Amino acid sequence: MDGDGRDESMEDPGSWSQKRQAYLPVAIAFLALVLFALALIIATKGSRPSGCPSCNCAGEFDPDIGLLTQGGSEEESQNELGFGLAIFIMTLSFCIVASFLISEHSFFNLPDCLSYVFIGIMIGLILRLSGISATAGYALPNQEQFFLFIIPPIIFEAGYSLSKADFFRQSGSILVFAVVGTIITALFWGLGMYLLGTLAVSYKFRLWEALTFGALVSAVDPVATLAIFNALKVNRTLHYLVFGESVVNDAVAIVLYHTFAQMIGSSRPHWYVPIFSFVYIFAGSVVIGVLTSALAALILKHLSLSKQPTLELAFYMLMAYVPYFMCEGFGMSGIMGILTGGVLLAHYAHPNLSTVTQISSNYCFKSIAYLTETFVFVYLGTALTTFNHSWDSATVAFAIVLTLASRAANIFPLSRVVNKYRGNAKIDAKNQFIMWFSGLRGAIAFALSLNFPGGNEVTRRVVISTTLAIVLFTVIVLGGGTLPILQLLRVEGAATASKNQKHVSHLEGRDMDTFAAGQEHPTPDEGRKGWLERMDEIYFKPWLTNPADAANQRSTAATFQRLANLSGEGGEALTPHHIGSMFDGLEEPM
Amino acid sequence: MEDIRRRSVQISNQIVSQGWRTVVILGLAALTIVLSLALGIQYLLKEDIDCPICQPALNDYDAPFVEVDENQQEKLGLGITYFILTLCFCVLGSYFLARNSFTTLPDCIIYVFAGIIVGTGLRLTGRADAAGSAFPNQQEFFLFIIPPIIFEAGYSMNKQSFFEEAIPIFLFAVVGTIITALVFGGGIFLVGFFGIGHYFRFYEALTFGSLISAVDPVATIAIFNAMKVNKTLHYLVFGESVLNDAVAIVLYRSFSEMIGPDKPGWYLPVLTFLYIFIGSTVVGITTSCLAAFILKSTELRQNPTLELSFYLLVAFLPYFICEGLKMSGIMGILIGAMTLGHYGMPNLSETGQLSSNQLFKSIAYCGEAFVFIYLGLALTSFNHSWNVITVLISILLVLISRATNIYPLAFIINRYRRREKISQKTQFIMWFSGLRGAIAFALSLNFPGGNEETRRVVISTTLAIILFTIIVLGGGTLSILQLLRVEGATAINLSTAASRVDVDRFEEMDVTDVNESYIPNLTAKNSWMRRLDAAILKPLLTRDLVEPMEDFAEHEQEGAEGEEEEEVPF
Repeated sequence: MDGDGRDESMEDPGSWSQKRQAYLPVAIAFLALVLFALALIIATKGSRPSGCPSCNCAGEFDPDIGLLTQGGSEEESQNELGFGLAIFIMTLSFCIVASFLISEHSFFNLPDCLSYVFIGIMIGLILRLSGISATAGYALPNQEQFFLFIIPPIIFEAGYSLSKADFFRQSGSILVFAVVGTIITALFWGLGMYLLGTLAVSYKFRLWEALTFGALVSAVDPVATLAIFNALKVNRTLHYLVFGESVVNDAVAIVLYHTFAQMIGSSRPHWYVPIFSFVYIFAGSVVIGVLTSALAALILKHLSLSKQPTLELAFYMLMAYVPYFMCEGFGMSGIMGILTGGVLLAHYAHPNLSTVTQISSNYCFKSIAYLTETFVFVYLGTALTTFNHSWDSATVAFAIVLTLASRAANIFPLSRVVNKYRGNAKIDAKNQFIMWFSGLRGAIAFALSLNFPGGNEVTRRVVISTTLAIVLFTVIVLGGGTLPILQLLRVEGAATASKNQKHVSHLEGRDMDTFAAGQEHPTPDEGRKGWLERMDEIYFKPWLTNPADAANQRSTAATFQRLANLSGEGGEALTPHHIGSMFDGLEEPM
Repeated sequence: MEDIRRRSVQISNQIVSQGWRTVVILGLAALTIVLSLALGIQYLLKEDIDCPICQPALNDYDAPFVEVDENQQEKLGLGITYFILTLCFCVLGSYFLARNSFTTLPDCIIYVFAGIIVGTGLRLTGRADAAGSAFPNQQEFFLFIIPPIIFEAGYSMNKQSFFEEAIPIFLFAVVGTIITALVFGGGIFLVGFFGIGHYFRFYEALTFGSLISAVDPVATIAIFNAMKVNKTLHYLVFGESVLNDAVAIVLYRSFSEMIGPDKPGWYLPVLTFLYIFIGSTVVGITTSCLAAFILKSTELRQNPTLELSFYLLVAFLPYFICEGLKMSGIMGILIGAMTLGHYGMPNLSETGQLSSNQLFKSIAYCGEAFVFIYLGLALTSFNHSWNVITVLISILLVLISRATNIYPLAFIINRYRRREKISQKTQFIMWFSGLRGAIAFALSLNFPGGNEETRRVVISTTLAIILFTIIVLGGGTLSILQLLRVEGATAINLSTAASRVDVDRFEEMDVTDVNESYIPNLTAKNSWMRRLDAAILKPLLTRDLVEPMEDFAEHEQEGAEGEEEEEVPF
């Protein structure tokens, strides 16, 4: 890495190299052990008496094997699954240490999701070379598991850690970009692809297929977007604008995807059905999210569950994820539901918790989200190397161009419209450019592509491969290249981009947000409160949330402030003593 | 270039000055690299065996992705919703139990009944298939539900009490479980042989016996907390029930290999047993020590989110490695959890300690509650094949085999025990408290041998035994003891909440507990372990806590006071 040398000169050379040397043996030892473990697994796999590694498994990977299925191979497949999971767990813990080391030493100016993708690619290569990709394939989630277990924590955490004050202040613009913008992107992309197909320059999709494809590709990934935005140090308003957009946008894209997908195939409903189902899914999911989190807040308020933190945390976590499954059960959008639930839970239920549970639930949600995010990127890398792809290079190239063009068709006209109604804080050209550039695609798009409807196998393959290409292109080229390009293009942009960025900064950014959650956020201008905020303060907050007595409030706020300060400073040396001292006031409110 | 040269010189200087530790680490690293390369090359040299059946599956990239129709996902979503709502209900239920000091029932019975009610409701409304699609199969059960429970058991175990009682625990767990399995298996075989109950073949009977001999730590702890026995006995029984699971599973696997035509030699079960037992222990210790070392030597604690993520991963890693290597994941994760609690936890930041403790506890709680709900659901929603006589006889055999375990072994232990003997009353309690639970049921789900009828009988009988032990033994112990012996009844503190949540899990497993447990308390028996621990392992693996130790002491006091205050409102 040539970035390496540059960075080094930036830092204080003495402490940096010393630090680095202290970690060097550890890093080497760790790497060696991971390698060793992988080799061990591969070797023992090879020495299995049953010659073929995937025979017992083939066809057995049915997530819904009934309880009483026959299975002589059950034992075998449990071993296989164990192997696969062990490999992935080791990879993930490797990623954590790697991202820590990267953040510690600022090796190169890349968002760390990139390094996860690379690690995934390497693991995939190893697996493929050693011929046990089938084993790992066992542990790879299918689309269903992806959506039931991997996506919800990420989206929940996004909603939970949203800074409500900023979000609601921007809600008008966010909704315009997320709803109207996503529809524009999807239609633009889909129609463009369809046209290119009819002109026979790329793979020929049918109309509704193209639109469905457009819908899934228009899902901007909050994770990747956030990572790059933290690196850019834009102003707070813009930050929340884009973050909010990318979160809400997922839900819209999924709803669009499902509505368009219904139109594929022979038993096509009327044209107005998509609109109805869009409204139904959207409104229904929001209602479920609101109801469950209100219920949770009420229960937590009226029962003193806080006397038993274990029960409290268990209850809170269960209530956090229930909207997702409920929405899915009713055929609505789980993502929309859990997003709404997360936002409201943080606002109304979080203050009802005991301090212990507030802290531990924060970190639990964050860690689970972090793990699943990391897994997603690793998975993308693994998918690139272990799947058999059907690349259609013309389609891929056009798709990438269309992705950029459709994002432009979303951002530039809409920000002109939005600017008309924004008071003083206009979105200037530079920020529009950043917004356009930061439309990274990620997990959601890929997960949706895995199960592309229509029953045409070739189409499905093309869709999966093209989506993967788009995702990797946006993450690697847009995500990795933004900083240098900005530095080249405009010097004032480069000045804002900090060299000494923390690559785990999306974690820290979230820390800050989450600690803001549940506290009385300072409202700077009382006059600008919308009707929602007023309703909230007069009705909802008193009804759902414990009136915090002053002492409790103070000590809780103080604890969070200290925690927030600590994690905000992040890298600076924290002695254990320092950490210990911040819990001084902790026992008080229990 | 100059820069790089300067740096490499610096590094080599640093290595020399850091001395032997770096040398050892680098040497180990080199060794592992060489070994892994060798292993890799060895593997690559092997020729690939083409398999006509799965070759397409290998090349077919969508093999892992099964087409699922929309309905399937909806069903799954609904099923999971039912489960989560029931769990929420149970959380609230045990909260009320604890709150109102309602002691006559351990709360696991409530969960079972909740499961039965929900199951009946689903069946009556014809929605059983939605819930059924969310039922974990045996594999998912073992991979996702059991590990957190066992991990938490090992993690929160008081290491000092455990090691003081190590020998009796091992005796009861290893020898006792083998006795129980053999007695039950032999008995059920004989009964079947004489045509009274269902006929099992010999090794089938033994396999059945070993699965039924897994005493459930969850249920046992619940009932033990309600009884207020002394601490020694508590750890004796708890330790036994935890270790016993691992032994029972190992026995189960060894015996089930003997079923079927291609029966290996008799010595194979013994070898398998040893391999699994030792291998799992080694895996558990190695991964946890490695994790502790990484946590110590990186500054991961500066970023609690990363730290907690890492800790979560390494906590469950031994389980999957062991399963992958055909060893006992339960054994591995148990040992791993104990090691991690001892060496790894002090390396965490305080936020990390707090959050990880809470998280492990809550996940384990949900897992446990889920298991009991599941038992209740299984009773109502499966198609059972009850064989009344077999059920009755096996319940009898369960009681008898537990008696042949406890009484003779307690007699032997008492002879060599210098401390407080295991009294008659205590032995009775130990015999009575052998509740069966999740592990037995999960094992029965996939009973080997290929005979469908036998498998059904095994599942139903196991379910019956579990419900009998939980409801009758678990629920009835208190009242029976009160009737039988008055001095027993006075020992029962009626004000203890039946909930293990506040008594066992919260009070006992303090953050400070681990630090307390390595204050040297030398007994003649295990002093070499303690010396090894204090002289080599602890300094190598755990962060130097000289400064924060004072902090800990303060917090401990504060915590203790807080605990006292908390008890009052109940």
